[in-house]
Amino acid sequence: MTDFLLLDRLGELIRKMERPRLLYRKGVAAEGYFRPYVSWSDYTKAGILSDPEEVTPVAARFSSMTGDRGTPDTARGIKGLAVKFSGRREQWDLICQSLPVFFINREKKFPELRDAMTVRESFDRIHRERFWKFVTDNPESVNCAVRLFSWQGIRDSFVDITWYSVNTYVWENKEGKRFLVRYKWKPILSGREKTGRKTDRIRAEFMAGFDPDRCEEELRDRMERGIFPSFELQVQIRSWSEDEEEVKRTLHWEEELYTPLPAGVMKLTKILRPEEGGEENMFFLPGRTAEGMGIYEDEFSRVMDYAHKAGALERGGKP
Amino acid sequence: MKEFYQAGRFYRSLSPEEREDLAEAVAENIFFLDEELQEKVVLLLEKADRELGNKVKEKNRR
Repeated sequence: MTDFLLLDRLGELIRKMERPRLLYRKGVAAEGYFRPYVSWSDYTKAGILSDPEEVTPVAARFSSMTGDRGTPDTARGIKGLAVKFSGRREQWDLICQSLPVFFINREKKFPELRDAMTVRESFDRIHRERFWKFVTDNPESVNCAVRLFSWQGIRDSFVDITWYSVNTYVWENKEGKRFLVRYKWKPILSGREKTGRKTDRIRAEFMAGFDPDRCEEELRDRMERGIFPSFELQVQIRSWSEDEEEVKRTLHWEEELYTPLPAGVMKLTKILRPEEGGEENMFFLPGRTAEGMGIYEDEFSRVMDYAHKAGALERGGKP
Repeated sequence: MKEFYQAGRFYRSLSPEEREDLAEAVAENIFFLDEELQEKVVLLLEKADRELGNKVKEKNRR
């Protein structure tokens, strides 16, 4: 006699199995809070940035663009930091990465880029031949490729990274004046912690075999010892312009020209475990922004927003 | 293309050891590719910074 209860149980286990994300699969989440240093109401209507007395709860997810659970954090690649601000009146998702530029600015090139970053299945690691073919066929990606092959492409910490929004945002104040904005999270490290740490390739290869979850372990370890990671939110502000060159994701806003201004501080105080509604159930949308601080909308941002939404729905979430 | 200019500036902002490491990393990565593609990579990097292209070419020969 077939054990139907067992079949039900097996079916349940299969249904419960999460579908992985398309990219940024391997990650760890934490919660904490954010507070602006001053009121930015001269530049934006957004409530989250309007009152230095108001603390906004945040949930953050650190991740690796390529690779899956079990693959090494110290493999060459781009890291991601997505932060969800749950304000009293508004929600804001800010998605950043460890390099200040991206490979492409045209959404049509995305599937080919995916192939260039895939050896076996999906965004696992750089496919040497396809990657260099992609870069030479799409020379605008040179700015990202050179950084990726520098020390900035190898990371052994989520905490000691400067994160960049890459996407451009549009701030609007009460008078209807608009500005172009890019964000940056700068780590605030105490005196005895290292800054701008550079891991060499030999050490990265050693770490890959010794402790593939290096970045995650480091984050957990710090939190357990009560050393809570803090990041300063910085903004680069430019006057409004229709010039597409200025908002290209393949170009960096040079800091000598557009000084990053300290805007606020985020402190992460607790790791979120998966069973506590942790990182597996988190969804971030590049287009989820508050009034007065929207994303600069172009075809690229619309397609990416759709992809994030579709991915979240597919995985059983409510984006 | 401004991307080349920024890539070159980034390269020149690195310390001598970091430049060496970058060139080494690229050379290692393209080592088993077709010569034609290798040449294209060197040409591309040369456009960003001549020294970077030359270094990769030199390391690739060894």
